[in-house]
Amino acid sequence: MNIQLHQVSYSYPGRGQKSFQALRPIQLSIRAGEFVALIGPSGCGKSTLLRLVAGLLQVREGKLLLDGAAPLHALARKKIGWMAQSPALMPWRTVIDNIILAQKINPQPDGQRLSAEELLEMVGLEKFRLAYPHTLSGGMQHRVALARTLALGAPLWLMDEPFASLDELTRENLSAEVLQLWARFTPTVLWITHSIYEAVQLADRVLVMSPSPGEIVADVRLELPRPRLENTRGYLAQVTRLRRYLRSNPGERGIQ
Amino acid sequence: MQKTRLESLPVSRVRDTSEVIAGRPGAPSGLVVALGLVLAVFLVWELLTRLLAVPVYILPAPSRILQTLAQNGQVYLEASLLTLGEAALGLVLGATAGTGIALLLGLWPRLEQGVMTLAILIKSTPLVAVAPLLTIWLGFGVLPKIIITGLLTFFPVLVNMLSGLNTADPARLDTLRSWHASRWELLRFVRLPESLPYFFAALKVSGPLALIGAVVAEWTGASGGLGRLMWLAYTNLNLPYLFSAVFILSTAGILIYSGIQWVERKLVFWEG
Repeated sequence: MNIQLHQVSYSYPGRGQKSFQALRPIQLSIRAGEFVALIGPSGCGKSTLLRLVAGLLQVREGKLLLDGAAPLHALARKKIGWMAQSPALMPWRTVIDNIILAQKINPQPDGQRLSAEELLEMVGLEKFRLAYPHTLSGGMQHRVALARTLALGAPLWLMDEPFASLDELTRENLSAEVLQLWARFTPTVLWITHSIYEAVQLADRVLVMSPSPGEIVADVRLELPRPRLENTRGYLAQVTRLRRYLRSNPGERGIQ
Repeated sequence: MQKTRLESLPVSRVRDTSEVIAGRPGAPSGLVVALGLVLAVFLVWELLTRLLAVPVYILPAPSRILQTLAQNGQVYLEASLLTLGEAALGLVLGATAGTGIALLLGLWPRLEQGVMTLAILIKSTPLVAVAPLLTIWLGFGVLPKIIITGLLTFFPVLVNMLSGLNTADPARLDTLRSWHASRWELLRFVRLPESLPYFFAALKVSGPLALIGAVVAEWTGASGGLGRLMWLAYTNLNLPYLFSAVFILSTAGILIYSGIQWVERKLVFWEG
């Protein structure tokens, strides 16, 4: 699924007349199947941008199109897989029921939709299908959430710092699995992170945002072969480059 | 020598942290402590009434109260069943109304201010003023008791359920919205289950309140029940009779509370 943003900005309505501008006009085009990481200082509007694409916030200024249609239209047609920082599982439902819930709310089969059992097997949790989330470790809960994100067979994955609360080793393992799943299903991915390393590890392309109100100050294409090893020269060069963009003033543009 | 001392430390006996929090293994449980305290109070009460020779029409000794209970078992059993039945039905009515209104307000938040004003109006009307009116309108039967108990118990349920429905985890709601869930689905699959702990918190307040509601309602005019027994005992200054009813009500209150807690632990298994 391709994503087009034409001068999309966003302001949160405030009390009285004052409103808070979260995003400056953003011009952006993402091709189908691209893995795009979005980095920027906290509070810069990364999540706002992601929520606009997800249709969780309504676009009021500018134009946002997913495969040529408005996000709400894509949402209605179950084309979005959403994952947030907290796994947000339903603690009163078993692991398998958590995944089934997504498919229950969206009953129509969407082409190549996998069954809840297949999804669980994919993240290696088939033995825990009848366990309740609170009995699982944080990493396992995130695996369930990941399986659930794929439950609708959506061609667009919107990930809002999905593994930020996990320890480093678990995060690396899960990131590697995400890359495998991405290679298998070839969705478009928009991945928010505050870690430059994570961005370089995962993405084809990294968008760097300025402090609030956010705008895209750098658009970096990473031409690094996978799997990417942290100690190679190319990897480190990209990390250094992205760090420089992040430190640059919001006014200075560094668009490639 | 030092080695053996280290090994004799009872570290391995602690199986998980909950055991540490609950106290040392072998320490008396909460129930034993509670029973001990109640017994101690009764003992002091018994001793004081005997030592000071308190007349029975001022304060009867616990032994005298228990004797009265034993001698009038049948009377108290019938009265208790009636009162507890009224309290239970009233609680069902109040909890259903409270939950129902909270769900409506959850679906249509615009109604909240208007409905809550009305609810507070009902809540702040003194029951002792309403109870005789309902008795005049509806007679001496069980219906006015159930209504009064319902009026008394619905407010805690309404307020708590409303908090519960409104504090649902935003990340869970977002997840469902990303699946294009309807307002009703958000309520059914996230907000309602998340408010279950709040519902039980409310029941723990409303359960014992239901007993008070039923007794107060009976006090203003009834053909039976513990409230009527108490009223008769009061007008005759028969304090052993009065206290017997109080004993039953206290015991019932504790049992209702514990029962609600037990069900809560079964249903809200993911918390705590």
